[in-house]
Amino acid sequence: MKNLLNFLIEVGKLKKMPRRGWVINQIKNPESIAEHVFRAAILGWLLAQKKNLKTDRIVKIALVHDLCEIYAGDTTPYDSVLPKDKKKLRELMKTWPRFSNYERRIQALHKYKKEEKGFNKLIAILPLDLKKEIKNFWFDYEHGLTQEGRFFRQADRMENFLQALEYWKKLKNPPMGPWWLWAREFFDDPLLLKFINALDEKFHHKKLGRQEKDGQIREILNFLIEIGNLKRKGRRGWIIHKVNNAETSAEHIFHLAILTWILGKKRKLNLERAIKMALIHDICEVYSPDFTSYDAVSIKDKFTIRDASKLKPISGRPTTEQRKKMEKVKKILETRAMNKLISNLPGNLKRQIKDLWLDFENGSTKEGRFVKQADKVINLLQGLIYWKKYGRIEHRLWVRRAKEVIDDPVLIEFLKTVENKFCLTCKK
Amino acid sequence: MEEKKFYLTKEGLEKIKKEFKGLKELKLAKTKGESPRILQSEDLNPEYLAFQEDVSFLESRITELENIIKNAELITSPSKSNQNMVDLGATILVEVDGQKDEFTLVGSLEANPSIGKISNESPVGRALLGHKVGDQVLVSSPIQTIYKIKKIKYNLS
Repeated sequence: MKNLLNFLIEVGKLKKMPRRGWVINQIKNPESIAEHVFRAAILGWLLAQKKNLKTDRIVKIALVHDLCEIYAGDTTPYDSVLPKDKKKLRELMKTWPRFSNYERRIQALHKYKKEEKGFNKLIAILPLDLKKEIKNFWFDYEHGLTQEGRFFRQADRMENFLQALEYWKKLKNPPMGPWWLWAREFFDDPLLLKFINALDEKFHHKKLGRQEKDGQIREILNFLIEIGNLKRKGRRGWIIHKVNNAETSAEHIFHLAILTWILGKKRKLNLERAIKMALIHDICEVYSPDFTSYDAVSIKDKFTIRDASKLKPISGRPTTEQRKKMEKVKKILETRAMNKLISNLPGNLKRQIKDLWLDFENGSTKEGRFVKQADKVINLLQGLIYWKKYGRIEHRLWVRRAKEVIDDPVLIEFLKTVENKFCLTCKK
Repeated sequence: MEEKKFYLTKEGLEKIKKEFKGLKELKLAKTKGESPRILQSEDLNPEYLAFQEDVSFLESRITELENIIKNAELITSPSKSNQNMVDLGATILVEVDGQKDEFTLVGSLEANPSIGKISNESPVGRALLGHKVGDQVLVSSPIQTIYKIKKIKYNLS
């Protein structure tokens, strides 16, 4: 269990690693690798379902595909030609880097070896069965061993492309050219080519012919754009505690999905259900607030949630009456938000996501109950990491509360490991 | 299972057949509880180790490869009189946006744009097919880009 915890802490570093491509494009406050993985997993899942691919495989490939970057770092096609001068860098971003095939092979081999080394270092501490499982998914992604591996390799880049278009929309002279040039050379999956048409329509107002239009894909794109708002949206609890560069909702979702996988496996859950549930459990926060215990104390009326920067962390705990009031408001706002968010999705996807979310909210299945409790555990872990770094978090109160609400045996064991790690049971 | 043709170079098809043979041996050895020869081989492919314990992955990979082999279509060099035209297997030297680049046009399975192999089903791949040296191929929307074909060669074994 100690190794699983250490693995989870290492994986959490992806939450603080900005995607390198945006850094060299001088994008302010760029997304992190964890945020990219969050949306890539959902994009892969929703589009793979239209192709009748194994979506459980897709989400797992998505969750592991960039883990190597914890130690290997994130790379871009421009890395070998980057100038130091910022003006020259901006000029370079307007072109697509071209290399000879010999140079390309050398670069690709170097990248692969570096990433494989980083990946092996990360998973070395995992139990053998989990290590092999995760390595298989990474191999699948790298070598296209299955239809799912090949599809996600492109879906991953599609999320990247979508993010690029979202960033470029905010710029006066965006470096659009190289991205479309690259996209036209890179993608060949028929469904993703339709998705590109939808991007063209959305971002460049291209009029699509009847053959090119796909209403379902358009709605999936709109949904993905909306959930992209969870990137860079700091979690209110951390803002209340004045944490600098607080973990975002998207980053939290990514971390919970990984925790759900590695501990849910021990619990012999339906992992497909549990991981998907983790991926969507907080997406309603696109429209509804990210509620905290501090809101339970401060809530004034039915629909006013105070600005997190104006709330102070309380040292006590809300009363049962305050909690009940908050839960009532939370349920109304979140249900409304979720219904709005998924309203235009194709029927089967809408039903699937709603079912998963209701299960999470109500704990209807063992997966639902597990993920709900795991959500509190991963939150506690992040809180303790911040406590170690910044102080000023009532960590003992949080641990006490966790022990009140968690009854899953695997999570209880994990919690004990967390306490030992952070020396909460040490004698002073 | 994908029901479509898989265009493969001779090298690509041989690689797949070799992997198929190796995995079938691995599966047979596992059912007999033996250590398969492939794992004792000196040029051991570490990727095979990944399949060792995951039997369902092994079986699905075998089925996948079987399907590919069944539906494979070999990419061959066209006749000399047609070698001035872009077809599968062609290595094309192009000029695009003032820069030179070289692509080899392959089927989807072997496509790897990071090492210059682009798919015949990508928009650029599709646009280049059937064109000759000197042609200027327009790949449109939303930024119009022209690929000028400078040279075409076939290096297929």
